[in-house]
Amino acid sequence: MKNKKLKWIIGIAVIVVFAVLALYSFQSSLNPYVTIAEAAETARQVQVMGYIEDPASIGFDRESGKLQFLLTDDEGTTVKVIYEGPRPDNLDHADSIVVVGYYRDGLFAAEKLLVKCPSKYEQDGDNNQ
Amino acid sequence: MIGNIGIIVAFLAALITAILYLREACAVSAKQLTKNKWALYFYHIHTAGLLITSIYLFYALISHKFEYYYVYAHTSIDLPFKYLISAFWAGQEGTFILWALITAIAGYLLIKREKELLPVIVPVVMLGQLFLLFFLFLENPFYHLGMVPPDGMGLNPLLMDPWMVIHPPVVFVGYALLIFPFAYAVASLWKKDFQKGLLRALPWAAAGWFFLGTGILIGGAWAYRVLGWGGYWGWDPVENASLVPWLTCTALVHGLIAQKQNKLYVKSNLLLAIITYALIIFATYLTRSGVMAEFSVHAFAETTLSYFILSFFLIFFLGGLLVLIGRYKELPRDKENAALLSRQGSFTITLIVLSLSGALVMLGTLSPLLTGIFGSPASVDENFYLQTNAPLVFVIFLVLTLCPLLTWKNEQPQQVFKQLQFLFYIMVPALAAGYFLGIQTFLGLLMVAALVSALVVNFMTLRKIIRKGLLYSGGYIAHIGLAILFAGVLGSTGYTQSQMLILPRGENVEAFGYQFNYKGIVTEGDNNYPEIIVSSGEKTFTARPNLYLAGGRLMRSPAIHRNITRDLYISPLEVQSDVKREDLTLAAGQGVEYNDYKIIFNGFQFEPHSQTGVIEVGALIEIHQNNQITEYMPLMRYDEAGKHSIPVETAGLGTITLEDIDADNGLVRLTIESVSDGSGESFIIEVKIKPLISMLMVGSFLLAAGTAIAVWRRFKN
Repeated sequence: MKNKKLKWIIGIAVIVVFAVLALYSFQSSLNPYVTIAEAAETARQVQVMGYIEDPASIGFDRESGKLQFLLTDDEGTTVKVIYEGPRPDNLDHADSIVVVGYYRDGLFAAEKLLVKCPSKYEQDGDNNQ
Repeated sequence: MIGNIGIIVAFLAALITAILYLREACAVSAKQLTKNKWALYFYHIHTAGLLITSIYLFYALISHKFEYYYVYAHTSIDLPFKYLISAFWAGQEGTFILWALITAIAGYLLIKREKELLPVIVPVVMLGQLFLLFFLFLENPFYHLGMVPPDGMGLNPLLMDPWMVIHPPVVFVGYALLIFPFAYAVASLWKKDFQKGLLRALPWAAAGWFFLGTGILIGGAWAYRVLGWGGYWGWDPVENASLVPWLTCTALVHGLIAQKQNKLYVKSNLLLAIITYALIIFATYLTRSGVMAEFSVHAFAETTLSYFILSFFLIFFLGGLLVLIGRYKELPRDKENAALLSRQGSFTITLIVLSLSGALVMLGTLSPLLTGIFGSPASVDENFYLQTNAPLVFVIFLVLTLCPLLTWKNEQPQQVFKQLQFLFYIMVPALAAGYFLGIQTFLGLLMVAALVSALVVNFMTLRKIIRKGLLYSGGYIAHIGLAILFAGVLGSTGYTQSQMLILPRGENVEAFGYQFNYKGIVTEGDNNYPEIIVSSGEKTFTARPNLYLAGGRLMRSPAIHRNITRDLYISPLEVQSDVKREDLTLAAGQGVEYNDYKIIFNGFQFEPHSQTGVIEVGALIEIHQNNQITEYMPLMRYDEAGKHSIPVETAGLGTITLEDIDADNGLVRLTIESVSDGSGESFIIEVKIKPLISMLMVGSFLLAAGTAIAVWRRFKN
């Protein structure tokens, strides 16, 4: 009987500790979706959804070795995004792009790029008809 | 026309089959069960309808019937045959047909094996079929364009990979098979056949689990080979949506095995069978309805089906739960005599941990929707998944270490730990090796210890078990595979090194102990291979990443050099040709030295133009080189739209553009853009060192093989 009680106590303790850990992890790894204006006001990691209006702005800066482009959000604000990592396929044909990272000194330093492709990608380049 | 007739026939036949079997299911006593031939006939008709639809769609694809939107949207004339086959499941209409067809065909094996519960199982399965066929009415694969386009739009180039040809069908076999455990759960609840009846779901659960798991592994292999970001799992909603039912199904299979051995976990198994299939429909909802469209990298199709898929989910999920709740009081209770340190204890922990892991992944996946309820949506990053699942993975490997040594009854801890003593001698060198290879955190080493223990214990047990026959070794092989796989995950997630390199052509650049030398682009058809000579002291090889145009887009595919300890992963980023721009402002008669050339501006020339309102001004340019004089005239054209520059190509010097004219002072501004001979070209790559990918592959293979053996065993008896 005593054994059974102990089992319950241990079980509940483990669950509580784990739940707290999970909740803490959930809290700290949340990245809110914000506009560029809102991103500029916070120091935390955020996600911004936007569009590349000028595909010619995409390019590698050879000095820093970073990918950069101009991102415009729904409010029409534009920011220069820098990203250290491979250029995703279809960046220039993306419907919209989600950048995850920090806004610092007038630049958006992206740690992750999520490129959203047109669901029927073929339509944009099709002139067959 | 023929295709749509097939859909209608299959739909009506499914309805009639369901009603006929249901009538049989409602028969009061077992004696009244007459063999209803008509029900089976209509089942044949149902399958025939689906076959006709599939064959016709297939025929339309291979004979390029572009008047059908589906054929037009997913194929083109020049598409190779193997991709014409895979175009069948390139769109969601095709995947619904495939899903329904596999279910119908697998149903024959079910009809052969199952007798008593069949009258309940078939109507449940047919309800699923009715939903899938109903979706086909709304999203019709035979939508006619009303004209015949000369060519189609082609297959998404990312899908043109052998792994992607087999990935969807493998996943859909898993989807299709997992309705059977669900139907068994409902049938055993109805007929109060909780032990023997429910247990007959085990082979189906195991088979569905095998295909779903293998499909997920294939998807990872594809991502690693094709996408070029160097990973295999991105915690994207689409990936997570298939992982969660796999986790609950893993719990279900283990629960059913325990039930078979010891009549345990009846309630959990019923719940897990219901939840697993509900989660599969929910995965379909998440990925097809567009609710996650804002939060995922994957493309989603149109959203007309959203509410119908949601009702498909709700009917199966709530319906299943209601049947379970209705019978809850009559369900057998587990004997509570086993201590934690027993085989029963280890199974209990396994079921809890797997369900918990599934719940956490689901929580993370739904985080944008959940946070969206309370405010602006936010989604968790991959840290959440890693942090919360790491302790669970650790617990799983502890359990895997202990479980083979335990019996179903209580164990004396001393006895068990005596058997584990030898691990101590292995652990010291293993941890030392891990430490010197770079795993220097306490938690990292703890994980290594758990992996090594599980690996060694399961390997020792496998050596004993395999004498009884390969048939009984599936579990141990799968667990060994899992340990090796996670060693690969640990290595490649935690210890990947990455560096961006700019490789000027012909120059050696060093990184990670390799010399990279970019030799230039080799073009073969549509493919452009920037060739890099990679040497690492003793070995030299040529890496050929690929830059190719497909569907009007530039695609980049990585070059992967495989090695036992680590992969060298080269992602091509960009080829930059070295363009030199020079701005010159010259007065008439003035000349400048530029490289080996001398450039002289000799004045303006007004060109008469036949069109009124259009004026063209030319700048007379003389270029001297080695006593050779060539004349060029870049133009500036003025018309209603404004002024445009018309540049000229020179021999050797590049392009000369007239940027501006100051006629009053007789000045011109020119730019000279010279592309050098290619020696100034450079290739930008990202190089990654990914340790232990080979273990990940070996582990995946063993896991799949072990599961396959387990499926074979469960179908055999």
